[in-house]
Amino acid sequence: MSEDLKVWLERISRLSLIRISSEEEGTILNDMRKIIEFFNTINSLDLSNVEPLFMVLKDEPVVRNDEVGEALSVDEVLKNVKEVEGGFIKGPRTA
Amino acid sequence: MITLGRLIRKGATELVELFRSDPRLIEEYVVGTYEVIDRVEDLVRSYITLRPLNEVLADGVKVREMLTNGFKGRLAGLLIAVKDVIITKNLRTTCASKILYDFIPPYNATVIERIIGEGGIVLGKTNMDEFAMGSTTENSAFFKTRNPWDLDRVPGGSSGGSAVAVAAYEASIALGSDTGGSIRVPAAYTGVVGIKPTYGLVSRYGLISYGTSLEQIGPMTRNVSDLALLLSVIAGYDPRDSTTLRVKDLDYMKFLKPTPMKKYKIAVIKECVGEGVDNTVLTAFSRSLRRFEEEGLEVLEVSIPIIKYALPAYYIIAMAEASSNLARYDGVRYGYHVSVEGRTWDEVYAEVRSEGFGLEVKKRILLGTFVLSAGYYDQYYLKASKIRKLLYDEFMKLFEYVDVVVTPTTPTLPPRFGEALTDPLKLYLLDTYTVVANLTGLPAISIPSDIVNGVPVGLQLIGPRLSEGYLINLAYIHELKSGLKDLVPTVVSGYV
Repeated sequence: MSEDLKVWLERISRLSLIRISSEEEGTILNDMRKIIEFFNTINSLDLSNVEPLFMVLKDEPVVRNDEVGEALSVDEVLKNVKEVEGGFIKGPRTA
Repeated sequence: MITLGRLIRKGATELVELFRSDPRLIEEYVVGTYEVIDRVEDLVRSYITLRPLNEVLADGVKVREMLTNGFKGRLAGLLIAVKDVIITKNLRTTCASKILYDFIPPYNATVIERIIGEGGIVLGKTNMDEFAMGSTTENSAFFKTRNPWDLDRVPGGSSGGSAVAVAAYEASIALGSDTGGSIRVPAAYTGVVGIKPTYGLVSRYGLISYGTSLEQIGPMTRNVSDLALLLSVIAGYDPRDSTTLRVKDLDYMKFLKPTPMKKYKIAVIKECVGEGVDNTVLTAFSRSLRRFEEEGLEVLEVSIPIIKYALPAYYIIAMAEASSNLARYDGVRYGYHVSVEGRTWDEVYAEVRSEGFGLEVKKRILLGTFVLSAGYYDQYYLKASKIRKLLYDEFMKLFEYVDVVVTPTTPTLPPRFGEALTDPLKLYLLDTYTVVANLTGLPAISIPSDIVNGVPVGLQLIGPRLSEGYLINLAYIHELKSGLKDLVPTVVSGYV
């Protein structure tokens, strides 16, 4: 496995907050190499004069009116939270 | 056998009429369906979460009482299997992932609200590839689902559990979701009908996101009439999803006509019937074409060379969107959790995500992050989006002179377990013909084309924007001519 690829994977893994275990590293790098090679097939096309298409909707999405509706209760919102303190979600430290 | 025989084999449309004239039949039907589940579920494993019989019976009794009081619900008394990517209030929703293994949603997806409003009863949540990433249902964090036509083969994915639940008569109808073929591939492999609607026809509110610009929820059923019925219920504008379209006429039942409602011109894309397609699939495909020709419909061949770039473009875009959508899983507000005491956000997030996500999901998030990262955005994500534009324009031009495009749904028969997982590209190739509809936002339906070597083969019909009605008309004609409806897979043929 080349040093370059390892450095590259470390950078991507940091950006996406996904740690790769040493057991996974081999498979992941191997598969990713194959997939990127497959992605690279699009590089044979000259697309300099083509506009990109990100969304297929013809019209701009219409947002609903800003009207007060029914909302979930605090209990319902906190139902899936594992660490709650005084009605608040307890999070990790910020630094 | 006594209870099973009478109602289980009936189509959903017929059941609704029967229940309306005799509401007491609902309980018999519920019990019969659980008898099928008792016999077959251990072999195929469609459900991640199955509601207990007594709860579902109680719902059935409620619907019976409503019917007795004149309720006209279009799905009254039907049992619906729901892919575990769709949010169901107070019913565990896992996305087949460890990271959501205990998530109990506090609200319903819009499609679920509509189904319940029409008297439909949610029976359970079905297995899938984790976060809908996969084409075989082998990537579930919990267990694999098996194909009821051949237990050694995959059912397709990612909506494999929904396909199998319907195919094996463990539910009346089902909901799937389709980002790149996830309804149509398993429909083809299990002999059922499935549609990926026009982007924006069905609300995505409550659908756990993977590829936001690509995906739609859609019905999976044993025949075309049932598909039209369920689509009529779930389609339509939703103020809670700003991408839904304001479509007025949502009655798809009126397209169930035995003859062509217009002189459809059918196009075969040359690039989709050449290299890489199994001969058995091609033979089935030709037979389906002849059925349309016998109806006096014109079939012509067209060429869309850009289509060979659709698959890499699709995977670049889908992974990019996945990396963004799956950033929300932090283990703090719901799902897989590690203690936060004395640790930083980054530490907690990284640990939760590394332990909670499976390998395929990790790969897609990593690659998605890569194609969006500084220095690579132009080369991958932007370029893929330009290919998407070219493909879109080609299809718009094509639909100026043809009415429908047909392809095999998949290039091969369902793989045996492990076959498609040996190489990531082998797995991705299963979606070769289906991703086109997601990239362009066009509706596409998969219907049974034939049964080859004991397993079903699918035919895909792609139409212009909002042409679901015409696709249903053609699918219905094909169903009548081929007799391929309400198929009974080998594993349940002894008792269903």
